[in-house]
Amino acid sequence: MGATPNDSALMLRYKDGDVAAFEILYRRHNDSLYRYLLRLSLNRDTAEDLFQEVWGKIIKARHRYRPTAKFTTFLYRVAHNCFIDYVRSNKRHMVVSGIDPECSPDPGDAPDLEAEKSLARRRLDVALGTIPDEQRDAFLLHEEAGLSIDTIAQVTGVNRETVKSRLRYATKKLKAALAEPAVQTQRTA
Amino acid sequence: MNQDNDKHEAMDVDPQVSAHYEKFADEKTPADLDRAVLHEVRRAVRADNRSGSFGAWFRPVAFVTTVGLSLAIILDLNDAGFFSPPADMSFETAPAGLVKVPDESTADAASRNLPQMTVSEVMRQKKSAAAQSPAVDAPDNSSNDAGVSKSRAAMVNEAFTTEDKDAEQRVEKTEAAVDANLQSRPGSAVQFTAPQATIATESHFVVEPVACSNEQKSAVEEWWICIETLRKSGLAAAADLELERLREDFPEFEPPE
Repeated sequence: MGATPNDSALMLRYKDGDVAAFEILYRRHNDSLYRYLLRLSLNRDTAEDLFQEVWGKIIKARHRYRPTAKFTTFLYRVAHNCFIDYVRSNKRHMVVSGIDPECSPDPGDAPDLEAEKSLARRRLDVALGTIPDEQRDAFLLHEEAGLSIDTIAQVTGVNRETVKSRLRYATKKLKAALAEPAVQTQRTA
Repeated sequence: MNQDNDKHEAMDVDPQVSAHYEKFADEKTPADLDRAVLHEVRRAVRADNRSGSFGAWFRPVAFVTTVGLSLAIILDLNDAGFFSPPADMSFETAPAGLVKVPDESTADAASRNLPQMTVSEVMRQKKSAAAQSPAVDAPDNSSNDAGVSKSRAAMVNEAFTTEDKDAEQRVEKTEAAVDANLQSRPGSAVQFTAPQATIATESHFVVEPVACSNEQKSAVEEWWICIETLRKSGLAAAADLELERLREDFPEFEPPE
C-alpha cells in the first residue's frame, strides 16, 4: 500500500484537476478549521460563512499554489485573514451568541454525561469569549490547528515573543475561568 | 487536533487547559456545509476543463491573428511609401534640370540644356552623349520633350553604370583643375560662365556656377541678373543665398516683377 500523500501533494494534484485529492485534503482539515472559526468568531452563522469563504479562496488560489510552506500554514493564514477582514467590515465585537444553542441543560438536574459535556463546552466557550481576540486566535491556532509558535507568528504577522506572550495570557485566563466553580452561565446578547 | 504541534513548545500552554480543550471542543463540520464546499470544488474543476479547452486554442489563435494583422499593416504602410527615406534635397543635383523643357523663345536654349549636375556627372554624360543619339547635343530638341527626357535618363543611367577608366581619370584631372582654379582666384566662387557655355568637347569641362562673382556683385542690376540666371539654371538654393546677400548689401533694392 502506498503512503498517503501529504497535504501539499494533494493540493498540487487538485491543481491538476484531481477532485478526489482535494476531498481527501478537505476531510483532513475541515473539522479543525470549523472549530477554529467557530471559537474565534464565537458565532455559528459567522463561522459557517467564514468557513465557506476560506475554502472558496483556497479553491480559487489553486492555480497559484506553490508548496513553499506547509498546507496548514497556508490554510490558517487564509482563515485568519478572512476573520480579520470580517471584523473590520462589521466593526463590532464578537460575542458569544449561541455556539451550541440546542444544548441548554438545567444545572439543577443531575447531569448525565452528555449534559456535562455540553456544560463543559459552554464554559470553555464563555472562557474563550472573555479573552481578547488576538490571544484567543493564538490559543486556537496552537490548540486546534496544531501550529508551532513560529508558524503562528508567521500566520498572524507578529514576532515570536508576541505569540508566546499571547499564549501565556490566554492560558492563564482560561485556566482561571475553568477553575471557577460551575455556575449557570448567562447568554450575552 | 494537535497533529503537527511541537510538544516542546507546550510549556506556553497549560496542559490542563489543553486537555480540557481537546476533550470538549469536538464539534464536527455540518453536513450541509461539507456538501456546499465539495460542490464548489467540483464546479471549479469543471469550469477549468471548459476554459482549458477553450483557452488551449484561443490563445494561439489570438496570438497568430495579432501578429498577422501587425505584419499586414506594416507591409501596407511600406507599400504606401510610409517608411521610404526622404528625397535627396542637395542643391548640387537638380533633377528638374534634366527634364526641363527648353524654352524656344530665348537664344539661350542651349543653356537650358545644361545638365545641372556635378563635375563628375557632367563628364560621364559627355562620354555617353558622344555615343548616344544627337538629340541631346542638339539645342533645338523642344519638339520632342519626352524623347529628350528619356534619352537623358538613358544616358545618365548608362553613364553611371559604365565603368570607364579613362573617364574616371579625366574626372580626376577635372577636379584637380577646379581646385587649382579656386585657389587662383581667392574671394570668389566659381566664375560664372556665359549662358552660351554648353557641353564642351572632351578636352574641356564646364564648371557650373554656384555663386556670383565680385564683379557682378558690384552692380545691383548685374547681381540680380546673376541671381535670376542661377534660379533658371535650377540652383534655387544658390540663388536664394545670393538674393539674401544682395538684400544685405542693397537693402533698398526692389526685385523687378
